[in-house]
Amino acid sequence: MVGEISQYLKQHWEELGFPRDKSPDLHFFKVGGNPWEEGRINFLVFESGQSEPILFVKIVRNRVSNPSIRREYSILKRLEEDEALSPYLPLPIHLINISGRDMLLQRACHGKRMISLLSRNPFLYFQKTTLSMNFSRAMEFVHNLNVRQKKRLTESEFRESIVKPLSLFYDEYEDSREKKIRFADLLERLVAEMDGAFFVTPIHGDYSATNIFIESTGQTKIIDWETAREEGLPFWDLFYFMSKYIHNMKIYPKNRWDRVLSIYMGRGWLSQLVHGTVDEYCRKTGFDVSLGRLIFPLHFLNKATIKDTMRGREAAQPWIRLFESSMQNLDQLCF
Amino acid sequence: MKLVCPKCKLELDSVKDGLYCRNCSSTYERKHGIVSFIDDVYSYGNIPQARWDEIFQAIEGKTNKEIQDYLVSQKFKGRWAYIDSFRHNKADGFSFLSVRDQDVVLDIGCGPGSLTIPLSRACREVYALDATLPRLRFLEARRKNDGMNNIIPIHASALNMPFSGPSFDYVLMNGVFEYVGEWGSHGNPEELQKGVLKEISGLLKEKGHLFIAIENRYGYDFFYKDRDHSKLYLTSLMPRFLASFFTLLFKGKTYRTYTYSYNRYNSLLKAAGFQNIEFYYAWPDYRNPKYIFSGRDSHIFKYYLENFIQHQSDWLEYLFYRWAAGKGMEKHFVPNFIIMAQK
Repeated sequence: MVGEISQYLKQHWEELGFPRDKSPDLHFFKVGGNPWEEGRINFLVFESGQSEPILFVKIVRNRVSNPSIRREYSILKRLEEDEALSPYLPLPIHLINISGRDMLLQRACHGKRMISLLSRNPFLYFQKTTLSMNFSRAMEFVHNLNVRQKKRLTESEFRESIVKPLSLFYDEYEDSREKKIRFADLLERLVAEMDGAFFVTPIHGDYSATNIFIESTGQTKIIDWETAREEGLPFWDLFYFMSKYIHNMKIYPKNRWDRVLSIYMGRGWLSQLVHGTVDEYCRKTGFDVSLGRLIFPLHFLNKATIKDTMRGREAAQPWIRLFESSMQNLDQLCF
Repeated sequence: MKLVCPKCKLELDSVKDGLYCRNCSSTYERKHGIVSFIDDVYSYGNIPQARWDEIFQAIEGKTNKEIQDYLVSQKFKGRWAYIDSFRHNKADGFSFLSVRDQDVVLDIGCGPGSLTIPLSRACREVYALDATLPRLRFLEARRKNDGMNNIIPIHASALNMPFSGPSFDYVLMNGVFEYVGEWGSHGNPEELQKGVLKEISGLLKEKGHLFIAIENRYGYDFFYKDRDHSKLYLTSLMPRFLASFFTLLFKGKTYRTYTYSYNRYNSLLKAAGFQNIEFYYAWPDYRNPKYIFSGRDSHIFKYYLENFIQHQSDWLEYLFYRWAAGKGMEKHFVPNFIIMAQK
């Protein structure tokens, strides 16, 4: 497979925007990906002797044209047209097909992943500056995405696009009548809160510090748009970023899942940072914080649906638990 | 491809329920539909025969998803190797090789089919050889569910394989080469391993490839984190006689699961007639490789070090590899290798 890609790249070297002074000697680095048959394999491509990769290649393991690769491509192509968003994207991007396999070719991001800036220090106090900077950097992109790409819908379209899929998923998942009633009530409150002005925004779907690069110029680049979709809710990416960040930190309490909710429901320094970030997001986007509170539990449920599709029920379970606890304790949120 | 008698290397005839050698009059019967050249006594892993009977009864007629769910719901030791065998990323090392539709592959020590199944989708035939019959029965169940008719399971020892002459485009030993010494109870394990390499070289077609995934004897992880195949700490780092002393003392048997250093793998393969030997590093290990890259360009290792090891591993490990990379010595200490060599 690598041989075929290498051959393709050499043949199209100039079209891909690289200078043809000599035939490139390419090395491939398989990085991440998913383990299942229809899953993806990712490669970073290095030119011999270079310390940074030049290209990122994303391939589906089995030989079929793949809707998820095509969806990712079309979302990125559409966002590329927005000049305020394009600096954040790993561009240029090409969709190619080699031996029946769809592949995405992207410019490789340089610099550091935001995740590598996570401190190993267990004392939160010493992470203050990095944390504030990372939260604000992450918020900068999502507020642009959510405001600039906002799409108005009718109530029935909104119900069809957002309410129905979540309801169907949770209905199948949960047996408790009481929980189902509480969930239906939450959705109705959300519909009421929108007060006739229904809208959706594109979401990244896996907006975590692992997928954010900070280049040497300070520009952030967002990678891995595999779970992106056109119709999501505002706040979702921001909440997910913060949840995943708190989950990844090397601090106490050690149980990462318990830690997530305890921060959102707490009053400490980190909770204040969450509060401040949400306030700032609301100020910049014009969305009401009360809408954010109703959307908050749904970001956990949205993640559960993604996990369930990709990795099965077991992987979705912790996200469902977070969803249920947060739905029950909305009045205790720190923002 | 015609199978041959492992004793006299002459072609076998098909007879009812098995294969027959006209020369030495040996009959090799089918066990659970799998042609078998050895007694059903060798068993790799922690699952006892009685448990296997229970498992095969439970998974009879079930889909692959149901088989996985069943195994996840059970609590017995050793089941995770079978659950994990459904993960297709285990065969990702093969993406660095150009397997074609017409290629014939031999998977030695195929186990439950971690590599066999993904490879069968890319090539003409996979001969899946293993000395543990239940593992082949498990593979058979998966094969039937996947509708793959190009997998031929064979119950045999790698020390005495039912093949002759250059027949394969690829031969793979994924986490298997180190166990060769255990399959023959007599003789020096290294000599047995050399013999297997020689035999594989004979079975490969011209320009055919050998794929070995294995631990580095001096891998950093063995210094303080991981146990060796002997299930004891540090034995891979010791002189063999000392390792044998400890395994005899604590495990009641001599040390026979030999792994080697980067240089030694290189020389063993060269001595067996292989060329274009390329070492890849697999992280966190070759069984579940999330990251794979060639050891040829040290810049990639440094990139990996700064972008991945730094925040995934402990600080000491990062500093150690940084020192090793600075001296150009990382290849001597990476935990494991995927080695690709050409005949």
